[in-house]
Amino acid sequence: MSGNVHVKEHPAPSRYEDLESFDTPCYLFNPATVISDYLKLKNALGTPLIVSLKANPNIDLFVRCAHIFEDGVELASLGELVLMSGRAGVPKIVNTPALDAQLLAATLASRNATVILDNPDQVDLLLSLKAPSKRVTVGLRLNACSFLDCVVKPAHEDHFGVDLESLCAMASRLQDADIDVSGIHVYGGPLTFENYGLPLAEKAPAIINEVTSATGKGIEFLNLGGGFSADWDVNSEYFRQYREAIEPLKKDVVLWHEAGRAIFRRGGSFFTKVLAVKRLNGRHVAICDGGMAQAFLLAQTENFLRRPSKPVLIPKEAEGRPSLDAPVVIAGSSCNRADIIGELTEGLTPKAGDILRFDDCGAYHTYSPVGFLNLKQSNFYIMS
Amino acid sequence: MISLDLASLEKAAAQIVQTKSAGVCLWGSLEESPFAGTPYKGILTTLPLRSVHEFAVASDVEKASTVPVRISAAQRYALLTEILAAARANMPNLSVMLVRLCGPDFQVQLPAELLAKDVLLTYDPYAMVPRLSRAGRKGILTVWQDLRVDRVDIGMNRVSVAVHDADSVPGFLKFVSASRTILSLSNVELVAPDHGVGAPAKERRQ
Repeated sequence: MSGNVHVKEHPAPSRYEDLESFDTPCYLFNPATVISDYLKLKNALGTPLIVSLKANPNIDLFVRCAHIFEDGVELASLGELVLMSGRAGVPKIVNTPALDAQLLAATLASRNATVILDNPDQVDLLLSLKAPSKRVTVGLRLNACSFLDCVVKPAHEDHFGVDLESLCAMASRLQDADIDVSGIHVYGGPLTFENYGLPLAEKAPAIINEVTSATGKGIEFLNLGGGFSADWDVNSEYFRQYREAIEPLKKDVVLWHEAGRAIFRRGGSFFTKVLAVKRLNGRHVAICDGGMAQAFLLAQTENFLRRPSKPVLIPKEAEGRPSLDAPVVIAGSSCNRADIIGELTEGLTPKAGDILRFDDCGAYHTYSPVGFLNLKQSNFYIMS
Repeated sequence: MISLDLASLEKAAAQIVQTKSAGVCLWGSLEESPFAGTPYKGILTTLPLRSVHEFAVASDVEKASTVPVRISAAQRYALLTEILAAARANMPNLSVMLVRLCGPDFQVQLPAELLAKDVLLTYDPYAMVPRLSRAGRKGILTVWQDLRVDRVDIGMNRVSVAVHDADSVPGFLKFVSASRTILSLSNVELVAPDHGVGAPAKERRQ
């Protein structure tokens, strides 16, 4: 990642005395890092950049960054709308295939909101409410796989949105009810920018034309999603080609992009305390007070090939501590054999009371199983 | 802008006291967190919204603001506490401190220092000054602030401290040149306190 944005970032603590007051397991979010990464991506794209709140819905972090998130936040549930209500002061884009009457009504009641309709039933729902408030802007979600079928990998196919034909029918129906379709949302899926960024940009004029023909009116915005990884590279040839491809579109519509992982991942660290260390089958096992219940992604249960995270060991006292003589498996607190969140292969041997810091955990920290064993939930800290 | 060394402050204050006012007022803005690099615990919670009407009302109070939230609620209390402690330590004739606070931060305990007998928490500290002055009270310190700690706060991250009689000015100048909070402010100005109005009218409307 690169760019010319200067924001003073503060590194995550790495001395035990700076962490003694931390109530583990916990996350530390760094607003300066989040702001820096947001601005770098926005500047590199040269378009508005919507923040996907599902990637990090922590309110304390949001209030520290919201003055920068002026392009808006994407919300996918009533809970996320509640999080933002009264605080956001930025456009809210509600977008979920599970939109129900309660969420739609609350969205319609909100100021500066856009609702993205995923399917014809949601059009019916909107029309049934008979109150398509002037305050709400309506967009439609186009399924990316449906018109990129020549390039989409089966593993990337998803159920979001509809095909272009259905989308045009939805647009006509809304138009008949005197509701303008202001824009289209199309998204290739997480981490797919380098698969579908260019094909989407190249197909975009056709999408705009089809919808314009169906409604007899132009659209105002086109959200191309993003699917950016946290280590997207502004200097890559692909990124340069993408920038070139989207440039002509800007004269017809306001282009939006959207990101979560690329904005938040670097801006959060997960901390867990070592409760016990034992030797088992030629390796050490460090059992911690946090694990997959608080930082599910570290367990990598959804990955075909696991590459264990390597945390930073922050020893309570380092003096006289022997170096590792065998690998250490980092186990969480959930009594689940899959609750392995990392490993140590070098450095000091961990002891009970030590703290482990996992960096790059700022995105999707809430993507965790909750309720099992009634385990302690994470605490959250924010860097000043 | 003025330098916060005592000599510069005394020179500027002398001019104000001679020509404009009995007291002096210092304004500044918090452009960087004085706690930079120190973590604080997240405490903010959501509004208890259920009905459509509640969403509409909550949405209506939202403000599009580009003024950053730089500190937490607990840190705002800490800054105000430090200001009061510095004033107590440097102003021998201090009698009452009128401190602007717009409402409790429900998740954070109000420090005992802000509940001391010589402290009055109020939305408009300047409103009390004419009445107290007419009653012969001197050594009145007003502490006005609109530091943002949440998006629901309306403010510009400014702090203003003032005294309203000439006898209090020497101690006041020592106080502002010793207070860590005041020293952390940017764009500092020394002006005459605006009696009866408090913060300039445009700020009071926010």
